[in-house]
Amino acid sequence: MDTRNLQQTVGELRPTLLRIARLQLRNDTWAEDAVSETLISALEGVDRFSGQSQLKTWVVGILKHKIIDQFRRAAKEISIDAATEAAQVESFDELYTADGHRVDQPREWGDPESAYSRVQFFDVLQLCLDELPPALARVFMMREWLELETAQICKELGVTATNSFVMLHRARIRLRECLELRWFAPKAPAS
Amino acid sequence: MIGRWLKITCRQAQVLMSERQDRALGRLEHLRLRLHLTACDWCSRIARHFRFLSEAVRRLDR
Repeated sequence: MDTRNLQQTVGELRPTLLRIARLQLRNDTWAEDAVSETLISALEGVDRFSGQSQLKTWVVGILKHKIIDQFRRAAKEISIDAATEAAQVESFDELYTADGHRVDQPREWGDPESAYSRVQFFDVLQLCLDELPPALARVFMMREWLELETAQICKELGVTATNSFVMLHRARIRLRECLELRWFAPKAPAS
Repeated sequence: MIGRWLKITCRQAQVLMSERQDRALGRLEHLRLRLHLTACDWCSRIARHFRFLSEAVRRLDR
């Protein structure tokens, strides 16, 4: 692929990058900034793209760094959000009996690959992520998408390790319930 | 007596199932969780769901 084609392909990645940056940062302006900086870095460094990985993988790698930079620029605001969210008590009492056992049987989700192969599944996952409170979504995406260690997440967000574990647990429980309801529940027959 | 000491509820197990994805569990925590998952099909299923979620999120950019 020549440089001109590479530049065009990098530009075409913008909507995907913006979608991911919004999910992670939960702020449109920050997401726009991170994506713009990513595209500039990618276009400036396109000569350094070795072609050994996919172009998209290379650009997403740049985006991950720009998102972390954005977290640092907005550290004060993000840490206030995280501290507020960490103070929330969410017991999920509706899921458990008084003696701590589950109220209802979780569904069998079947072969993950069959869900991963469907674009609509990722639309539903994105919807479920969108429904999380911003601070919970950020901590979850930092851990699972940016793949940061919890010590680094705590440093970036200014929360304790215990708070980060509780927030990650809350995010996983909510996302699991959301996917079970919106994707894995049997569809009602059309009338 | 020992059985009671090692026994945890589904609620406690699900906290440990989440935390083991973020930190190394202590030996006792690990043993309690393992014993619970051996006996509880519902929690084993949720453990698979948590792993499924991690993998799904990593594929969001593909």
